[in-house]
Amino acid sequence: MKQFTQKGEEEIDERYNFQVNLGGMLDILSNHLYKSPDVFIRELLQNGADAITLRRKKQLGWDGGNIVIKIQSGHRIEFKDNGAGLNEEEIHHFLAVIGQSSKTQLENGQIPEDYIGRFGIGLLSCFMVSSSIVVYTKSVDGSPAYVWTGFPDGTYTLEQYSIVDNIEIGTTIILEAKHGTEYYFNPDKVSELVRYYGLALPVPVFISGIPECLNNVLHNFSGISRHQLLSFGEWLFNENFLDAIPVQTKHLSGVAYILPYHTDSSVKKGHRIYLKHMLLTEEGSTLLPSWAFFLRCFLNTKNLRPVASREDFYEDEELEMARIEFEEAIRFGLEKIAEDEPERLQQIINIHVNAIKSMAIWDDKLFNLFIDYLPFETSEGTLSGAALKKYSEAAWVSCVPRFKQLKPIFMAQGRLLICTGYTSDEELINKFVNKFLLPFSPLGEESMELVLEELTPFEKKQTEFLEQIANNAIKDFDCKAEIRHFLPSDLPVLYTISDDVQFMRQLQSAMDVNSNIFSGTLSSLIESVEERPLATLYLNLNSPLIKILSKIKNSSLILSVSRVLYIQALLAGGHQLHGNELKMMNKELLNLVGYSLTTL
Amino acid sequence: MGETKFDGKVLSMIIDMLPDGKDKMEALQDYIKQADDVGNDYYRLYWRYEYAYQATFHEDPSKAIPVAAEFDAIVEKSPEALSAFPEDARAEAYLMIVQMGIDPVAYMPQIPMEQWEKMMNQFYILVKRYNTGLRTYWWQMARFWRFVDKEKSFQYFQKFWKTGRDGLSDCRACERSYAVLMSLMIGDREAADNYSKPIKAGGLPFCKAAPKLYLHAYLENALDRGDLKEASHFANKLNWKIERTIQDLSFFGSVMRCFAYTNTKKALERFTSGIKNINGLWDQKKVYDFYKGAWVLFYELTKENKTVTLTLPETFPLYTKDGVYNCDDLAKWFYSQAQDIGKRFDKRNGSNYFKENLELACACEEKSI
Repeated sequence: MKQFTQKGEEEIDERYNFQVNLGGMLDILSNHLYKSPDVFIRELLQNGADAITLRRKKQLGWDGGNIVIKIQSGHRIEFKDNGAGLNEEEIHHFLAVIGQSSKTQLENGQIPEDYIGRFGIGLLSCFMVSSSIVVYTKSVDGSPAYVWTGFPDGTYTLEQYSIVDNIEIGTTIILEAKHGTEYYFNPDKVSELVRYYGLALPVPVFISGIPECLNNVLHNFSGISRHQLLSFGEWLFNENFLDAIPVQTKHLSGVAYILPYHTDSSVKKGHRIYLKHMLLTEEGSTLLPSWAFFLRCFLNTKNLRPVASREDFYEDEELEMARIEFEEAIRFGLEKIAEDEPERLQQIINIHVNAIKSMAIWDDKLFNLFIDYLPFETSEGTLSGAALKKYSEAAWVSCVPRFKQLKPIFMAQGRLLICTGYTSDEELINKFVNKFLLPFSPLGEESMELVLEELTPFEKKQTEFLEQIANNAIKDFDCKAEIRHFLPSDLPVLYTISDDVQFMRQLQSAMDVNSNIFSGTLSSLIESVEERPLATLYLNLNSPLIKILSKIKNSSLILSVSRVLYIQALLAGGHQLHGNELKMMNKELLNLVGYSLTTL
Repeated sequence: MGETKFDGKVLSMIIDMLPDGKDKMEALQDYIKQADDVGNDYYRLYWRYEYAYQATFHEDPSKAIPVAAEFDAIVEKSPEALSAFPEDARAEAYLMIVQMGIDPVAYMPQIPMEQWEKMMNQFYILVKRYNTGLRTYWWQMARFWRFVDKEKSFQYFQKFWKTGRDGLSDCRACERSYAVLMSLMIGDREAADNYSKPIKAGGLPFCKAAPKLYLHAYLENALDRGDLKEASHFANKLNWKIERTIQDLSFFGSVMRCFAYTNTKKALERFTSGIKNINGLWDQKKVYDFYKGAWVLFYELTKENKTVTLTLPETFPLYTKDGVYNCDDLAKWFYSQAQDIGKRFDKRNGSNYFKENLELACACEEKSI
């Protein structure tokens, strides 16, 4: 056989056809392309609906069309549509060639919008549940009826169907349950799958013998009452939604429902998103924005393209337009709720605060709409944006433990501290402050003077000795001591730490445990820091304990007390003690016990 | 008096309810301490793993290093601690956290290369011991050597691609995204397009990061070639997907670099939302990418405006109270910072990767694309 080398090096004068192993293809379809064998129902619905669309085009004036499914529970399914059917040539062309779809005859270079399928591989999915596919078909063009039988080894038979008199135009596909797939041949399961995949189909689908259509839903949701929308949502998703926002745009038609409970972005989504009336995805992450996790959407999409697995959208300009339309529809819906029923909006915000906050960051109009309702944790408890506007001064900290540490001080001083350590809060507060020109500012290490009152020069002189000894006592722990006045006066010390110091403490803790792999890296990291960031231990001169300490001249006693106070402040702040800190604490506690005994 | 009982399941449920990133990490830090105090091996390891995971995928990946070290020390000291994990997850959990501890080193120029090599040797021993993770090992080699020697990096990439997947392997779409990056690195656009085809067609299930990774690779490549039309196409797609997190700062940089020419309003929005995450970041590659984008943005703005009004954090070295900034000052500052970081990387790696990378952006800037 001729060796094929890199292109351009040798002219290729013989071409060979690939041999396709149908069994292997089926394995790829079932294990890699399709998520579950139940997609055969989707593919059959899709083919049936497309055949009906084709007949409407070929037979002008005909506007019938239905799909009827007859089931022998656990054994057999007959899937019958009264669409265009196939003649002999079409059978060879479309049923027997993988990748050839009857819908890939282009109009103006595009697959017509009213066809669902496009890849010509759908029928193969039936082999996941049946060892044969039998197709009875009679074409609308008047040609004879045929029965085609396909097998998973890639062979098929074709016979003219002799009993012509009673054959109606259309196609019936018969599947016999393979061992282990009987579950999919149960009438309840089939009904469930038809509703799941084909709920939005414009062609009615029936189970034989049951007069009610399985997929009787609206195709335009604008102008429908809120009550009706919510009832539909309850039926479809089995949820009592808080509210419903109709979505009717160039690319989208449906409803976005607001969930009645708190959720987050990592939870499985469970939307129903259809493409040309056939279920495409429950996930929707390519279409819906990241903040949409508080919504459950029922959406039918138009003019978008599917990927080959038909389980997501293809990325293109139309998809981008659809995304913008969705955002606008949700914004409009929420604005309307705010206008009509502000207390309902408050209820929505209470439940979905995280999602709403992240929406408000991205979108100025939603920010204006929501900011008054949004809650923020502060030293005065939870305050809404509207309440915050009334404050003439406030500071914010972006670290939750630090907020907790500073909260009693701010409370005692009657000043407002906002915690922006939670997701989205810092950006929102920044935006809030800029928009309403509020005199709020972040409380950096450098802004501690706002909280901590400086000493008078006289006090400074009086406490010089204490500060010097305390500094010496804790300098080995990357901490400096400073003496200030602050409230409440029963708090003797306050330990403050920046993110940098926090990380250095973590590195130091990790060094203590001695890892084979990481020890060298940890010490390189610690050594690489040119200027070690220092934490600060503030000693409160309002505290009776520190007042007494400032008068003592016994340096070893001050040293021991300072170290014990340092440890106490660390523990109060929820910090992990390092090995050297534990050792030091034991030593200094014994020193203090010894001292108190000797002074008895 | 009642004793507070440690209940790992309840604490895990609380963690699950918190948003990813900083919030989860703060809670985990507290719970790790509680698990250490009661000596519960499973939660001591599991929450360290979770912390490293949060740091790697939602915050500053460098913060995974200390917990990875602690995890390793616990397992080395008492290997039976791992038996609290399901049997099929033990090796993967251990190797994965070690990987999360080693990977950030590529982006921290203060760690000497020998140190990284030593860690990789240790990782290789673990790969042999547990008989899994070889594909990941080659991937790590390719990833680091990208900044040192492109040819060698590509050779490692080929070894990675030929080695079979295992439980430690990345998601298939992420792997293909790296294949796109590697192919573009050696100038093979056709191969890159072939690798990205299944991702574009949606034929592969992928994690949140994958589409961003391959779009980012294409975007940087288009910008470096001065193809603004193609760059805009990828920048718009990437812009839709990026989140305002530390994780996505590199993507912010590239998007800013493109929008500097096409949509300065959007670029400035990206700048102000990204700059707040820069302070204190140990991952210097993210800082470099962001600063490079910021430099291009302000250099472009210098041509139109003298000043801009921005809300920047107080920690920003050029911070002004009135929020008015001179574009030229900002452009110069960001350029010198990016150059500085680049020099430190190149010095550590013994290469010119970052110097050349910045020169490419300069060349595009001179031509104004």
